[in-house]
Amino acid sequence: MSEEIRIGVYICQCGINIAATVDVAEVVQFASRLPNVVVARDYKYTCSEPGQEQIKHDIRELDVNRVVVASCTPRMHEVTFQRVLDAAGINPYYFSMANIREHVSWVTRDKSQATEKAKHLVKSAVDRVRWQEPLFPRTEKVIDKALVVGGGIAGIQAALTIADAGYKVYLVEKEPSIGGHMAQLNKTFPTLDCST
Amino acid sequence: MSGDGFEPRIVAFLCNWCSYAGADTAGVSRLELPPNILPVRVMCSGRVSAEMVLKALLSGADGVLVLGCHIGDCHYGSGNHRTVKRIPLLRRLMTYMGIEPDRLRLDWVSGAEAGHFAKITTEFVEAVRALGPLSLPLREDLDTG
Amino acid sequence: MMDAGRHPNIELLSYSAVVDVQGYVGNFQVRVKKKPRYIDLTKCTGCGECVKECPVEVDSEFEVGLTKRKAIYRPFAQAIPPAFVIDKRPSPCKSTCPAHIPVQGYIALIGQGKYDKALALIRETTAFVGTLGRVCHHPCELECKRKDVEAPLAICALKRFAYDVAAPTAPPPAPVERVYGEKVAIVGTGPAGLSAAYDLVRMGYGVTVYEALPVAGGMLAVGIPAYRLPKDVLQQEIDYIKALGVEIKLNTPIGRDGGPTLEDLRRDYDAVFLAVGAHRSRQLNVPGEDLPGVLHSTDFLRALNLGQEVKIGKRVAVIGGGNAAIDAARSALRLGSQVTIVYRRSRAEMPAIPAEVDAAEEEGIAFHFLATPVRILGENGRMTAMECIRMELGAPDESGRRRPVPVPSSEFTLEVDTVIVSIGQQPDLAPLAGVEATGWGTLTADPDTMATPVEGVFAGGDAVTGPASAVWAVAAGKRAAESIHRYLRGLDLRQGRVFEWPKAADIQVEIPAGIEKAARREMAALPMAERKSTFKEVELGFTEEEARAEAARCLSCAVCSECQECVKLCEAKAIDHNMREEFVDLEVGTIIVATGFADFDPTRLPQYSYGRSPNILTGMEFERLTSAGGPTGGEILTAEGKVPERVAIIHCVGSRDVNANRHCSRVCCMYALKHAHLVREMTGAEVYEFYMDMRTFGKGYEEFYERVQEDGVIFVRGRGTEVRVREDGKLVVRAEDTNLGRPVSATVDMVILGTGMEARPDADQVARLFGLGRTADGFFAEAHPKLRPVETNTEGVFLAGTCQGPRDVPDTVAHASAAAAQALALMSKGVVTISPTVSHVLTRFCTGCGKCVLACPYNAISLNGDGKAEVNAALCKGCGTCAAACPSDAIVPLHFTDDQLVAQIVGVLQ
Repeated sequence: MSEEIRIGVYICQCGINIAATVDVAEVVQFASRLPNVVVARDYKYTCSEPGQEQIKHDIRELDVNRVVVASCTPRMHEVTFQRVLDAAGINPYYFSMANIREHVSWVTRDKSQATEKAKHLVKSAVDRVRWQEPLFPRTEKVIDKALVVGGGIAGIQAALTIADAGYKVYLVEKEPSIGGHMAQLNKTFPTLDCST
Repeated sequence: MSGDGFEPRIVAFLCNWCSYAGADTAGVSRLELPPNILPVRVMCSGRVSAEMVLKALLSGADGVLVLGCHIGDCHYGSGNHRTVKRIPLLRRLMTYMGIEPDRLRLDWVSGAEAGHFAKITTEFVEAVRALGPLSLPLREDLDTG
Repeated sequence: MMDAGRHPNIELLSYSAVVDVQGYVGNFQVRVKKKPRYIDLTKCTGCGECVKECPVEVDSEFEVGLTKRKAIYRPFAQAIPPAFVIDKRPSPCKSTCPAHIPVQGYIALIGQGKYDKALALIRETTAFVGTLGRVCHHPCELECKRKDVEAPLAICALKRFAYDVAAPTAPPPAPVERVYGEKVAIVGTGPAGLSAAYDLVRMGYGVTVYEALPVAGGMLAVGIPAYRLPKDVLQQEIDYIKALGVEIKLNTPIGRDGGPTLEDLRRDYDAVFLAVGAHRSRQLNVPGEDLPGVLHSTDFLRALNLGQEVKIGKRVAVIGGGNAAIDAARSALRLGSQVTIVYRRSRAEMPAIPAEVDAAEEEGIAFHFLATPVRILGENGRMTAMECIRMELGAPDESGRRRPVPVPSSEFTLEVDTVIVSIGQQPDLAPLAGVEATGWGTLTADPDTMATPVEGVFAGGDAVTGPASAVWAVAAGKRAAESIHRYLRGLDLRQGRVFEWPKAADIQVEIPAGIEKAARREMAALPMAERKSTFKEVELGFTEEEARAEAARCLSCAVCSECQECVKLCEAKAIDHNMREEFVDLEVGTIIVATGFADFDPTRLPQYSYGRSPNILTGMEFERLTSAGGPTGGEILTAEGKVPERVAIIHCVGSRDVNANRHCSRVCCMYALKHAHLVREMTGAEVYEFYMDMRTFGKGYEEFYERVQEDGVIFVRGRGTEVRVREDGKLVVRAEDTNLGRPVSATVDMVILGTGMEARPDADQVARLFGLGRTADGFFAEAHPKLRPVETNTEGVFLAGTCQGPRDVPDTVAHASAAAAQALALMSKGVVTISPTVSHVLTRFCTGCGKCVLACPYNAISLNGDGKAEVNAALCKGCGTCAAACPSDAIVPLHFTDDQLVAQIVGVLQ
């Protein structure tokens, strides 16, 4: 692609969760000197509304077209930031994340070691995002029929609920009759009434 | 740190569903981990190809750790069965290349096993530290990109 | 339950199972196998008349074995659908029988004294009832499962009994009305030819059977001696076939002696069935074979059977080990000769029916095993002796039997004046110009359809297989008849036919626990003196008493015996015993798996003595005992019919136990309390409840526990460790009382085991079908233990109820409602987003090696028409295993490409 790669890097302090162990300012300094990085910033909570706004602002105003966030685990907020990109008109797969909380600040005592490791992870994410490509999810129609396998109390309940909502249900039962264990029970708890 | 000042650099391939989560749990539990571990997230340990491991060793890693879900717990059912077959082959290949096979280790960590993750990583860092820096005269030549 | 049965939006597929699932969320293709119910759901009125004459009783699953049900049954009174069902499984005997006679059916009818119905049932398959009942080599008996108890049933003798007791008094049948204009010519009146004739005439064809000899019956008439098969029995069965309208032309050979040629038959008839048998004896090929005194068993037996004069000497050697050799030997003995059988292998390899060999030995016939003639010696044109050589068994040959090889210099001489050669037979094909023969000298025909390469000509029986056995010939005749019918009607010869029946070894039959041994009955035999000197029938048949006792030994492996009694009783004509399994293909957007749990089987923990006293019950058995619809009508009674005075209830049987299941089954505490309450309320008996701790986790549960405490139940805190059955039938329960810190025991009349829940034995199969994971306890794995309790790792597949883990009724209903809500959410949204992080093939690099196809855990990759890998993006979950397996970097997991990961790796190290 001929488009110029313009990377924005956002280092999250996560209150003091990261900032207490990682020298965030030094990481910002480091990041700003990496190739293609047009802006590097830190913020108290990047995942917060103002944090997200900052990213959107830079995409709009500084033509940032790739985003790296160094904060918590991507298992937590990857989707959050991908939505930010999407909202700002950038493909959400132009996003990469460095986990400097669970994998750095929370597990390292020594501040210089933590800062050093954070830099490695940020560089890694920046290098990665340069190679990332836009991807587009597909949508498929959902057939409006359900299959329920097993005609015991669970299967019957599920089938009736779906059928009552107006959808077709196939209820498959291995035995000659539905009812399962439930049909064998006499008085069932807690009402002690008949089960069939 | 240690007397001779050698700090090994370890690339740890962590699968998204179990071992990466286990590493997160170690963080949540505030366990102290050696800073030498540099995690790379993959969706499944089955994604870790021979090229990935060799690339890491050729690019300056002193050791490579591959962590996946326990057998039977793989998010993808059988992805880690491939890993089990691949790693021993790779260790043999490393021997041919003059690299100590113990610089590569495969293990299993579930999302809950923070302590296990800490133990494995600490042990592995010490094991690689004992092996010393990976000296690879051909490092640059082999590094064909 | 009723609502589910009649909801307009619910299509119920009962007695059915999912056998295949393809596709992905929103677009699943599901194949469902519908087991044959043998009852038309649209016709069955549920009246229950059919049950009345059903001769088969098995344990009722619904009443957990506390009562019996018939083979035709309705699982319980309120069953949905309310129709009956026939429990029919493969049976080793019927499956093994070459003619697939419904063995269990006639045995059940004999057991009930319905002999004429037994005869009629066998005659639906074959006319040779009395004949096969005498001469069949009965492979069915080798496979009869009763052999695992003590000995197989005397199936053959029972068939004979049905004939002997019912046939002589049965009125002759009326001729069958012609339905079709076509005529069929059959060559040969042996069991193959006449069986084809019997089936074809009953279908409504005109049938003419040509016979070269002056009698009908083929080898049955001229090969088998009268002491095994009396002439009148065979003749009566042939008369029965003739009475239906089959024309038999005796003394009319084909293609010789002035008879019509095969070409004539093809011109004059619409189809021809060649069943000429194998009547030509094989030669010994030794010097001296042309001496007078050397006979062939076929000629010898034919002459005897046709009443011709036969001259043999005093000392007779019979060469061979087949049935014909034994027949010849025993016949020669009856003519007053001393007889020796010379066979080149050992007794174990003899192809003759073992009982026949035994009978020959009893009658005084000598055996020379591992010997074969090398020449026949004569003087002045008269035989004087036979020189033999000893053999030993070498490596197995193509028949699987060990090949005999001569021992050098081991020749010996037998002084005999007659040699009867019986080393095999071939058909005489010379007169049948125009047909093809195999290298073995037999006719070429398709082993399934019996079709020959000649248009409209079919062949079967010994003429095709070489000498075999009567029942194989019957089977061949039946197959040929079906093929000829299809040929004449322009139908495919194969479509929808079953040629391969299940192998007996593959048929699982559970032998009921505690079955009593009962010796196999043997028929009485003629006194030895009469046996040796006359051709009177040796075996005398069963008495009525013997037959019924023998029939009672049947294990009813197939459950339904196919006696057809129910068909006669059903006024709605809803029963069809020929129903086949069907497959239904469905397309659905979502799947809910609600396959439930299995009850823990307490026989796995022998310390509880379950099965050793009828008064030790599982939770479910007690459940049925208290039910108004149950075996006691809802009264709590011991097996002796008494109201119990003391009852013990033991919690955690099979749960929270390292020797069984470690998990808590959750429901047992509360049902145990319910049982305690019911016992107190209904009988006033003392109740001891042995519990570890009381888990009253639900709304209103603790209050119920308090109420049961007020009922006067005695609670003992401690695991019940042992139940002992005392000689007087009382039960002693031991436990460690953890409150008192010492062992305690209670002597009671009834014990209820708080048996838990576990994963179903087929959970593994179901998991693979739907792509589900399983947790350590064996239940299906939810996507997240807290946050996604009904979703699975396969998108669009949800879990409901106890297949995911033990839960009680209220929790099951809640869980199922949640699963339904998830399914509805997907369906009401109408579209599903498919993640783009899937693998992508770079076609130009792909070498088509297929490694990725093997590596993919989801079968999402296949090789296309060009031999290149192709990813089904909807199935791909983006794990990337394929990329690691690809030797040419031709497959790329998007968002986790090699470039991206390498950049990340190099970046993190610098």
